Amino acid sequence: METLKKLLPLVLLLLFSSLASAQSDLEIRKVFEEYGKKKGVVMVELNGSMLDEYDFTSFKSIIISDQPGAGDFIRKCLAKDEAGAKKVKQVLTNGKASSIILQLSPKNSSNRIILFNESNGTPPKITLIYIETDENSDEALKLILKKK
Amino acid sequence: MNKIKIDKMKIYESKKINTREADELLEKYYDGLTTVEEERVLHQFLSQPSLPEKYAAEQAMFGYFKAKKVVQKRQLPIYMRWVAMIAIIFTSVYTFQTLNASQLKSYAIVNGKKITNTEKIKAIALTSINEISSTNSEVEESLKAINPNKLVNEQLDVFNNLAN
Repeated sequence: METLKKLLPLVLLLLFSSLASAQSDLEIRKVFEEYGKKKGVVMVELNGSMLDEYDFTSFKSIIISDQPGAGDFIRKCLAKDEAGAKKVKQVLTNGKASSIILQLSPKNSSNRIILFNESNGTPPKITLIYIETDENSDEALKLILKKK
Repeated sequence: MNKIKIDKMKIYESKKINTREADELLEKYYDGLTTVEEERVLHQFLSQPSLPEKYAAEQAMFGYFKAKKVVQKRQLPIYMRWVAMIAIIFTSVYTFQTLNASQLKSYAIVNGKKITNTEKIKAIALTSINEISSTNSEVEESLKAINPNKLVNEQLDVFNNLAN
């Protein structure tokens, strides 16, 4: 009984850490929370067998249309998440990052990729994708960019 | 006289005594007149379960308290207890994770409305991938086309012109 009491915090810690998703430590989580249910926004979350075709373990995306300030908010979040990235690719348009690809360092043996794009159309359309994969992130990225 | 006593003893041995006989024997016992054999019969009588409450004192005196089962705890060695604990922790965490993973569902939210139709969700997900892939493929191609040495030389050329 004494041993159990000593180990109880460890058990709880393990349980809660397993409950928390790999995305929960990232700033872009706020984007999904803030804009996910707004009008003109399409948010998708895929898990499990729905992703067999892609070799992903988790997929979350959001397409935001006509939400002023969303682009800047996402760029701020991405700037923070960039700190933990092992590869960063970005395209600047008029001094602003219009496309960003972050290949983050693995967490819980999952490679994580964030893709962001802001189109210049009217209204401007923002796409943000978060992917977790057990595969090499370069390979996963190739697979995504081939899907047209 | 002796013969009668022996006969009585035989009776005691062969059959259980009733309460009246037991009372007589107890009286005799308190007077210090019982024989070893009579006391054995009394022991036998008092050892019976569910005797009237009036025999409680005698039962206690003769040592027939209700027997309490002494259950000896079988304790595992300390290292085995630790092994068991660790096994329990990992099993519960694994079970929790498995259950949690199986409960993760796919969904889409369009204009605040939740969609759970798998075909629709797939189609929406594909749209977002297409949005990204079309733009980023162009970016990738552009990045491949860039020759860093050429770019540096071109930029330095500007300064060469100034120097000349």
